[in-house]
Amino acid sequence: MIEFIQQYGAALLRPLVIIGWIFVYKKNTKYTYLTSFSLKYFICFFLIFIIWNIFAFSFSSNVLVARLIFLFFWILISIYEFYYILKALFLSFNAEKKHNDIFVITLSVLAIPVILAAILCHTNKTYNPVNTTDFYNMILLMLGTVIVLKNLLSYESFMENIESFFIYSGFVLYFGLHILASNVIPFGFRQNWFFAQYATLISLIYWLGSVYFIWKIRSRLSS
Amino acid sequence: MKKKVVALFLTVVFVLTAFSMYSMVSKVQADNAASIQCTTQGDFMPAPFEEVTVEKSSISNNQDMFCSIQGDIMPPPFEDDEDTTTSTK
Repeated sequence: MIEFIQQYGAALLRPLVIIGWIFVYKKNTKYTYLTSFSLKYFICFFLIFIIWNIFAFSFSSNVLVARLIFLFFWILISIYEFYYILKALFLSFNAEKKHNDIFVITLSVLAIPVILAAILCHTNKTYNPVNTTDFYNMILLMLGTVIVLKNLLSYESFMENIESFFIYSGFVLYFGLHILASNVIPFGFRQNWFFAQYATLISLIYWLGSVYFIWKIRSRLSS
Repeated sequence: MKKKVVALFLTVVFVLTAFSMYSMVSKVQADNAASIQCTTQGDFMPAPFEEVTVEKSSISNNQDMFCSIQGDIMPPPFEDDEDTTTSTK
């Protein structure tokens, strides 16, 4: 049972979470621009993972192809996460249009180590580059998400952005746990290879539980 | 955003990206335990590279020996406790 949860828990929970969040998105129509953006891109974030999992299942018998698919989707999801958090950060500062050039430069700079790590991983047959880059990416993403959360909490209309709050607090949990997961070996947990899956699983449970709380809060506000 | 905030933001991004690139390139040839397994995000991890074998732990069932519940300071593993008892006799 534990092995089943380790291997398939996150993959099975993702469709449930996406259904829950589509329900949240459809339930209310009056969103702020930030929350509307956050919800749409959050659902797309899960869609990429579901497509990734379908490919991973389909090509699981061929180790080489499975590894290439993994690296391709890892690049895709890493750049997507940077785009998502950066855009939310700029939106939360109301600086999206004013600093569009900075946004493009930052995203391009952040994409370079991600692509390079995947290439080095493939050519040198070692996971060191992707493990290292993912660790630094998670630090940057968590810092960005904390600032987005700080801006959200300082808004006067906090209750209008309640969905965004649950999304980004879940991301802090997700990135924080993945920082730990990137360091299982330096921390001495030689056998805990599934730490990253558990990190994802805990975050998914949080996001799934958030759907219920958002529904309850929205129901109370509307009554 | 103020100019100072933009400058700080870009500095953090550039410095961490530079660290990331430096660490990645310097570790690419390192043949250590971290290179065999992928610990990044993703639901299904790719298979370990065949050239390196996983070092097995000498402890047969270490899950039972270490306390992994909540709490800031964990009690010592049972194996240490047994060792102390033996030495005091």
